[in-house]
Amino acid sequence: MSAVLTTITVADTLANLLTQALAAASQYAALQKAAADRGTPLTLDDLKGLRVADGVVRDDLEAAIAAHGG
Amino acid sequence: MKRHLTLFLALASFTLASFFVGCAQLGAPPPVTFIDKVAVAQLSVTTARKGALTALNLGTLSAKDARTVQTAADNGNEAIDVAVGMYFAACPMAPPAASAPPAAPCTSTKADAKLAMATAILAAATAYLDKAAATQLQGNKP
Repeated sequence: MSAVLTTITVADTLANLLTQALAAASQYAALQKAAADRGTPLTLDDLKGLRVADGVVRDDLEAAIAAHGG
Repeated sequence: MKRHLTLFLALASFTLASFFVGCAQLGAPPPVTFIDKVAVAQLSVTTARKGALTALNLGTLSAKDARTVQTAADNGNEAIDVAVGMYFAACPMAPPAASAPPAAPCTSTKADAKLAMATAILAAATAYLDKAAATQLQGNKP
């Protein structure tokens, strides 16, 4: 029973890792496509845009942590 | 302890390998320039936060574990900023003269190393997130 639970847990973990890695890869592909469309490599402005988007998610996570008593 | 480290490194490697496989599947070129690598690191930061947010809202992650991921993500951003600073100290951006031959891309080993550290921090946060969520899930099983 324990071995089955361990297997399920490992499978869950790998599936979650895979999902997150693919989501990041998808965003990276979109970023590269936008850069290719405008005929330049990625720029500092692209990085600034990513940082702004990260700030939004950071605020959301902070609010959720507070809502869950953290 | 050694066993946990091995597992952790395996999970981190799996995440990075999945990212590159995903890039290949989506037709995106692998990160080549320093800016490309910074973009990947920054996306990893946001991905870790999103994962924590989703798991927290689903009840598969505790607020304490979410806080750990949030802190690791903040540390990742700081490491990225330091790496970018090191890169531009070594490779100041100067507009090339129109008649100048194309220059070889500037590289900074120190900045690359710092960025690799940032990426490792984020891989660690992601692995921690999934381990914590899996533990919480297992704890919720009847």
